[in-house]
Amino acid sequence: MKNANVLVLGGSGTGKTHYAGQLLGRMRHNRNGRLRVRPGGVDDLSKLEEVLACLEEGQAAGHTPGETWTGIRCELESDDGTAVVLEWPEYAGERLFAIVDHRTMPDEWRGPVRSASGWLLLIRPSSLKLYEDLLVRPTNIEPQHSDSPTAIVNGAGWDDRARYVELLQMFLFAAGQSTYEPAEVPRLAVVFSCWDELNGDVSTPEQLLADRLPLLNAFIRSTWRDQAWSVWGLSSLGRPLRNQKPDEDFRTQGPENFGYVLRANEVTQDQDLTSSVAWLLGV
Amino acid sequence: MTFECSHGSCFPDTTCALGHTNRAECEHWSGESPSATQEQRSSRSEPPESTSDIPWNGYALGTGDLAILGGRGRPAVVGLIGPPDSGKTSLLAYLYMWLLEHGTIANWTFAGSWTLGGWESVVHYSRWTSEPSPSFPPHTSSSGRHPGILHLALRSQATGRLRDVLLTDAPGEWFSQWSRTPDSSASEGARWVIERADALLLLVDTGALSDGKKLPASRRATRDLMEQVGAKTSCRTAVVWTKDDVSTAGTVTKAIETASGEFMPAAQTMRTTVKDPATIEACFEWAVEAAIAKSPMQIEPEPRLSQEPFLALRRSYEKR
Repeated sequence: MKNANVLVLGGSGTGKTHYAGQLLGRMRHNRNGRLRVRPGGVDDLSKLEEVLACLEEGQAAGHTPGETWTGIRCELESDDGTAVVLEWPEYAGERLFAIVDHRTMPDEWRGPVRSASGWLLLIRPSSLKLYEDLLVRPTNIEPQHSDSPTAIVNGAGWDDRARYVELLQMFLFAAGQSTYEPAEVPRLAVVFSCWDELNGDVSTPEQLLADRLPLLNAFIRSTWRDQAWSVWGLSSLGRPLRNQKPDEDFRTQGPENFGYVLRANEVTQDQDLTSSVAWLLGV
Repeated sequence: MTFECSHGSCFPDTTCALGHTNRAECEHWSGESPSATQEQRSSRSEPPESTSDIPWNGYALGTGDLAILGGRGRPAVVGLIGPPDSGKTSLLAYLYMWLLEHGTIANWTFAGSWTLGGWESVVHYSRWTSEPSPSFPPHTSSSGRHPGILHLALRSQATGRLRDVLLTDAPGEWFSQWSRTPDSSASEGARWVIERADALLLLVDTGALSDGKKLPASRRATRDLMEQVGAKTSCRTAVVWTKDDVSTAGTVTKAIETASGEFMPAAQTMRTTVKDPATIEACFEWAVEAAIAKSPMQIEPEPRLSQEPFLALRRSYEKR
């Protein structure tokens, strides 16, 4: 059986835990997807207890506590009969950008970085920090030189276009991956989460990457071979859920009937939430 | 007890220069008290269990940091020179703002940078965040903001090759000093830029030349610099008229053009204005192409002789 680790790179509030819960639900209870969990193939369901319970009740799960670092291990099979053991990490999102801010790669990341078959980078478009500057919005008055003392801007103050590039650069370095030639491994899936929040303003995931994050788009195209990376849209839930007020449709129909992904150039919603992971694993 | 590293290329905020994960295992790491003259070297009150995994700190590079680039070929160096306030740092800020928005400079695609924190610090003042309104970066002085080197990795859309490009961000006073006494010890920083640059952008401050009060000093500084650059370097140079939206008296323009033609007859002439950012992209397109043409890298891959991993080791040699 093939072993495969997925390195999930998702900052705080990008919907990592909801995706983990919905992905697991799909793989267990919807047998039409590209990946399925073998019956009894999840080692310890208690690790996702809270999110699974909340989703069944039609409620949003809470924030993953800062000290959390765990992983779900499950045995999967694909359409073509390939058997895969998937390791899916679960951690608090703020730990990810702490790497850029503190400029150290803690021990818990080192193993997964080197062993992962694929990286899944979760970005929530509605919470991106993108500054307007004099290039895109010039002033009518002639700008002067600032009199302020010169500041060194730390990682937390960076524009997200630079921050995501730095994050990938640091992970590539930690993985021992040269960038001299475009990489074939590990595969990279850029997943724009909470797609339903965009309200149809953007047509495709590829267009979103090019329009809103041109620097990151250029970096990825320079650093990965065309066939080694892909971009997706994801709505794990298909609609916003609240903490207090349960969603009746979720309660009655079951959470496995909600959520969708979009492929790079497509506008049609695919209900199979396992597609991006299956692509990442090459099955 | 304070621990410190005696290795000259080792800094506390990046990896050990010799590759030790635990600095305490390195022969250069000792428990002796640091001397006052060794402020630049690594020092911490206790030896850390492990050092940073990352060999770049993200901010502008100093000459001691350039070793991290050496592994993939000689970087192309673009020197930005000009009198104080001629717009060197502002031009770099617009280059970065252009890259954030477009991801490319002409046929070169952004492929990374070891100095994203340096770039972010340069454009910090030009963003619409809160009060005050956006402005150009503060004056870079030799006693204020630390001069440095900004890095870009660019991949050619034509050949697929990756090239490292370094752009210098140094104070105008350095170059004014150098143009008067090029061999003095005070001109060391400017000499470093001018001697190592593969392409030079010599900035002419149209704004100062159109201001009656600043005109005499600006004209003199510009012509002095042109004379010395013409005499001391043979690298490809462009005279860049910044703030080109400002009109200058014909006699002033002619005086500068005459000096340029006399001292630097081969120099390219370019004009930039922030009102048309494409002029700034064109300026850097020329600089990148000129710098890379000066230090071409022809890759000569060895043929693969075996599928055995040990025997299959291949390298690319830089043919110069």
